[in-house]
Amino acid sequence: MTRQSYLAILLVLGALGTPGCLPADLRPEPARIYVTTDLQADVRAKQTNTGQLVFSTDDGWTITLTRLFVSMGGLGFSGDSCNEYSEARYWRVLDLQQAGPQKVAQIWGLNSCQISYGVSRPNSTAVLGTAITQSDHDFMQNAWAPASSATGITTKQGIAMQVVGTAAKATTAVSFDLGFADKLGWENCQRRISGELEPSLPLVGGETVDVNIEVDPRALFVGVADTTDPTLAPATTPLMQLIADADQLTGNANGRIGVDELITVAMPSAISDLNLAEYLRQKAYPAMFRYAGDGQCTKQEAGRRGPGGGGN
Amino acid sequence: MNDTSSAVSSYPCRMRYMHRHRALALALTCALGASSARAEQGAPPSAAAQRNLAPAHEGVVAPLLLEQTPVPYPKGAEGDAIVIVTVTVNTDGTVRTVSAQHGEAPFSDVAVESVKQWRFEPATRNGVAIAATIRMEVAFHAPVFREAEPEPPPEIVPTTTPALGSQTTANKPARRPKPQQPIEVRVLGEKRAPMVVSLSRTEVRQIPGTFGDPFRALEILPGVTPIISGLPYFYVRGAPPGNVGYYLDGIRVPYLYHVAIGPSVVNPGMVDRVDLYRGGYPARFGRYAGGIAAAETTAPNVTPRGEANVRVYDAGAMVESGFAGGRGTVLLGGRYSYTAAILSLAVKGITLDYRDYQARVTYDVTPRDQVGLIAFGAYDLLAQTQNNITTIGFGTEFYRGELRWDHQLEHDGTVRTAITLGYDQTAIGGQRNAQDRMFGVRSEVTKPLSRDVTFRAGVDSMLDGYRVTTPLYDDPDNPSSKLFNSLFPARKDVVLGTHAELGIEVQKGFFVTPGLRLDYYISGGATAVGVDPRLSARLKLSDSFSIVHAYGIAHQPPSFVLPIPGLALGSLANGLQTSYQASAGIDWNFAKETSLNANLFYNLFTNLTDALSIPEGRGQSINQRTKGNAYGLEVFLHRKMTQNLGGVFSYTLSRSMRYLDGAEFPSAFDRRHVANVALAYNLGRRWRAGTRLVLYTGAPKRTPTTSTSTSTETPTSGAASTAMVADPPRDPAFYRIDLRLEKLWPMGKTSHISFVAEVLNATMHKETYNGATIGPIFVPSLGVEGGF
Repeated sequence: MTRQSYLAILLVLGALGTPGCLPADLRPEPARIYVTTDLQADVRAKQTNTGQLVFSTDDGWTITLTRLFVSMGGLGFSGDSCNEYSEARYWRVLDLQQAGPQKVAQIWGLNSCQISYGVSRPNSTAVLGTAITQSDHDFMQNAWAPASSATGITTKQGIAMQVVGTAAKATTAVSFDLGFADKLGWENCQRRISGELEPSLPLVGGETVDVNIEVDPRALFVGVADTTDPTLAPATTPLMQLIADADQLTGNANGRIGVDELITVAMPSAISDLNLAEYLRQKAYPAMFRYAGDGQCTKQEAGRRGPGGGGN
Repeated sequence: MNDTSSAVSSYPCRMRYMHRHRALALALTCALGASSARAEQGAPPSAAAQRNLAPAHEGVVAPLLLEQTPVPYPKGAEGDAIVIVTVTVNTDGTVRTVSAQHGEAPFSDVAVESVKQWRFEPATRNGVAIAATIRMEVAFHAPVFREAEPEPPPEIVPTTTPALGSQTTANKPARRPKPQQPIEVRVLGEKRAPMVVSLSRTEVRQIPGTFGDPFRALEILPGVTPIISGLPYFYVRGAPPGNVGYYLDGIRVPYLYHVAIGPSVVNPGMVDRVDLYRGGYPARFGRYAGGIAAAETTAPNVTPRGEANVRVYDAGAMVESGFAGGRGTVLLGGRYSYTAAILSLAVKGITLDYRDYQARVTYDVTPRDQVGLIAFGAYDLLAQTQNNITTIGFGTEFYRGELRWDHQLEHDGTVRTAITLGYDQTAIGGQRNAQDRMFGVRSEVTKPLSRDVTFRAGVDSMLDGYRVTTPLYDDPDNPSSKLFNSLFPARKDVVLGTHAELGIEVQKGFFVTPGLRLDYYISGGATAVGVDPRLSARLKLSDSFSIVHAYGIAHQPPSFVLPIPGLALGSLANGLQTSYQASAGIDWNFAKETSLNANLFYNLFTNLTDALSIPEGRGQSINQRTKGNAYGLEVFLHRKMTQNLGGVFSYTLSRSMRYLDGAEFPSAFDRRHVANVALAYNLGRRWRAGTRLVLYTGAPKRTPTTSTSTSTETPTSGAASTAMVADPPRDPAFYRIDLRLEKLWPMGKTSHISFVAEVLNATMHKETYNGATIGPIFVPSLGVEGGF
């Protein structure tokens, strides 16, 4: 063969021999953010031996929760200066009566990051938390409950949270089984360090940062007025009496609280213009979740897909 | 050198590979698109008879030698000799290539050099000049010295073996030799396979919105349903993108286009044409349950040629030349993008980079044997840099290399044997890299058994080694990771296949091609067998009108929804995907360079993996199997785009459904109407303009389940998702207009420079998918092209 022939073959073989060009992962080691959730400390402190959550309200009611399920997750990052290495956009169904704190997910990042998370209807691949059965998961995935929609209020399949319990006062006792279908999301979450909000999580390679999302079921039974003056404490009012009256006074008095009964009750005007059912759904329900206890997050807009997949 | 060959492809132009060096177009011979024929000559035919050497062909007339330069007897040679040459004649009658098939140097060298100067009346088909390849014999007789004698009267020289090269020392003018008569005019290539639609590169250049890429022109063909305007993924007769196979010269390639809406992964200058088999394809194609898009490269060319283009965001070039006295050819091509630099000016921190390369060398070891080495590959990267840390968003690459040996059998027929190596890799979210190392061998034979029967068969084997790297930073509880690992396990897949078919001319004008394909799959401890019978038929009712039928069964292992290098579902335990394909239609060449093709089709799918169509929440959607069907009407009206006024009208009316758990619902991209109208017009003074309208109706909306029922006091279990309905609401229709303008300046006889301005979606229309607005996907292109 001629030299030209060899050269031609070498050219082709050289082209063939070109190694893979995709660059290797040369990024520095990131930090790990381990996210958990737990009941508010005072509520946890009063948990009975049988696991029930018992607390009193300012209007004299004693509330006993026999079930408190939540589907939480959709962990991710926000922030312009954050290097995301991995996110955990999955949902975990949790029984908050179980001992805490319970793992939600873990993610990796570097530099200055803020966390985003949410609660949503569990999808088919949601992870089952401690003591959560597949039946519990399926119930959460398929139950119907009121929710917001682009056209107003509708009924959606799948709930992000279920609150079941009883309330007693004097000789009156009512029961309730409340499901919340709205998908909630929070972003740009900040911890409070020594009373001051930390702009973002400073993530250093190789370190682990623990973040806990606190759930306080007592917030479901308290009305808090929206305030425009951040220096003033907002007006509050206990709601359990209103909730019980919705059945006992204006409802069918069968001792079971129904959403259709709550709709007929107006909130105190000093608190809100919404009816009681809508206030519980739109205001009280989101107020149960607190980032790092006293931290602060920006609530994502209703209807936005929010963190993670699945859910609605 | 511009390729001005006829655009019509035919089936199976594999034969051309067997004669590449000689038949610069076996492709050209294939391009004649006629049925196999051979004209053996005993007594020399008259010039008029020469015109009718191939009466069985569709109006084909062989080239006629008009002018020949004397062929000198080689200096220092002795004795008589016969050289058989294969000559490719251009449409202007000049000789494009000559190669000696038989004969020894120096006779063969002299014959080749001399024939290059000859002039012919070009071959014609239906009166239109076309390129063609013929074989001719050049006989050398040793000079005989004689004393001067009276001039003998002219005699009729047996012209089968004209005595060229004879010399005398007589002082008289040498007898003007009779025009060389070809000893054989072979119009090779076989009938076009029914249901194949083809576009040559020459035509594709004129179709607005394709940017000169033959692969991109696929979307203009009937039976092709786009996903999103401009994206290089299609449904073909209801089959999802992962069920469509892509080939380049018989080598499987994982994808056709660079990232997002980039150009094709192969330099267009290397592509002669692209065939789309929408169903009922020949038995040599298999392991895909949808369509087949097969690109054929240009035949090796010893004459130096090349082309290049420079655009705003990338540049490409291709050069080819011969060596070793025409026995070898080498081709190099590639494309390099500078989008990274450009994009960084507009969007900080984003890197979009792509490039591709192609290389080919062929060498005629003997007149009957050619070896070839071909290599090509592509690379794409989308990355983001923030705080000096670069994260890959998406990266993919593939490389192919093949060593092949083409052998021409003693009495016609060809054999190709090839060894193929490949490497695919994709970097996906979570810093996983999915890889596939492949090794394959194949051998294919084509042998005419008689004038009316051609036999084709082959065997092949392919080994794929899949693996996925473990991400360094991942939540072990993440169900997505677990699902991914279960769907794409590391493993070695093996497939053994064989196929055979007969091309039979049952009677004049009636061609039948029965075939059978068998594939044996081994993957992850599971095995499966695919038995694929095929049958196609063409009945010519006249020279211009044919009825065509094509039927077949095709099997495919489970496939990922989109063809992504290195990613292949590893769930053979659930069996193969199967499609039952049937189609019938007509081909009608009702005017000069104008044809109409219309078909009815029906495809039935079983065990289909079409994750795009499965509603959310239906188990493991990626690997969920469904039944499905697709049926409809395809119309393709085509006037060569290279004509002064050329155009294409393509329309598909179809319905594509899926069936799961007793529910019936349309496939994710069931578009009832898909239409393309393209026009190209020669404005004169080497200006050429074109426009194209793309129009399709909306895909089904996939809305989440809601209810207007009255609220309940307690949550209760609800009914199953209602997202699977037979006739859901649909997104609005979409249309876009593409434009193209070209100005060409010839540079000498064979070179040119062009300025090309092209816009995809000049109207900047936005598209709606599942209620969300997308785009506008608007791609402008300005560039300079040149060729020689």
